[in-house]
Amino acid sequence: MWAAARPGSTRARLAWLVAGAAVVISLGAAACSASSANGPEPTVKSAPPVRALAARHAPAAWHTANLLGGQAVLAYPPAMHLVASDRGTVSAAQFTAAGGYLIYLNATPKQSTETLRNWPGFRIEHLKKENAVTARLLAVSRGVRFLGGTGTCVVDDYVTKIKSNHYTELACFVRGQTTASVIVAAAPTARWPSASAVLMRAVAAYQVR
Amino acid sequence: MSRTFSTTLIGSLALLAALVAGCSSHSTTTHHHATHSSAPASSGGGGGGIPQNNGGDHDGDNNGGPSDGDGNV
Repeated sequence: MWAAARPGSTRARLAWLVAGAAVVISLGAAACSASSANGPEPTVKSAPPVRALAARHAPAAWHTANLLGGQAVLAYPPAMHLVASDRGTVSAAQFTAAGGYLIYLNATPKQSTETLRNWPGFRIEHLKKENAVTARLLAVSRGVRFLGGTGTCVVDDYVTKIKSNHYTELACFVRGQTTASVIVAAAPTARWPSASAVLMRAVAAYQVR
Repeated sequence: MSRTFSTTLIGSLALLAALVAGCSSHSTTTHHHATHSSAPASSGGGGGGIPQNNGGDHDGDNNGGPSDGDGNV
């Protein structure tokens, strides 16, 4: 059919145009798909897994706070107290006598394009874009079991744009049966070795639905 | 260069431009404020999100505190 077209004829021009368009569309679609489907994934492949994360109910003495609409329940130890945060989110913190952060917890409903798959890259890029001058991925675990759901978790550290504070965090994107949310557990990097146990315990007790 | 080839080239370039534009618009992070009605739109942040240094919603993470789980701010 195509071979029958005479050079210079309308049919031949149409054939050239269709063939060219097909090639361009194929190349463009492939490039577009590769760059946008899962978001950026910097250094994810080389990160070790997050250790010692296993879903467990919080100790009886801990407090709890519900995310907007009961989407999730954040459990926090008695030494922490609720602090102001964005509408619809829950944050708890413990401070030093001088007012600095000792430990910090936050639960936030899914608000953007984060997914279980793109979470590691999404979190690092988000930190760099909004809060941090540097952000470094330290560990990644996928398929982490939560009470009522499954999550992708990262451990990373970053330096804030304001005041150049160094923090290390465990941040998980968690999908339940009907909801998706993020839990962040952070401490100043210098305190992370002593703070991480209680923070990981709080993340393990995070309950979604 | 033949007229046929020119026609094909121009058509292909136009398609490529359209595809690149469409691709960019999908891969850029959306900055919608689903639960942030208090965020002012023009406080000079320059980055597309809520400004740092106690701007916008006055969150701890705009003051050098730990980052929250917000996908936008």
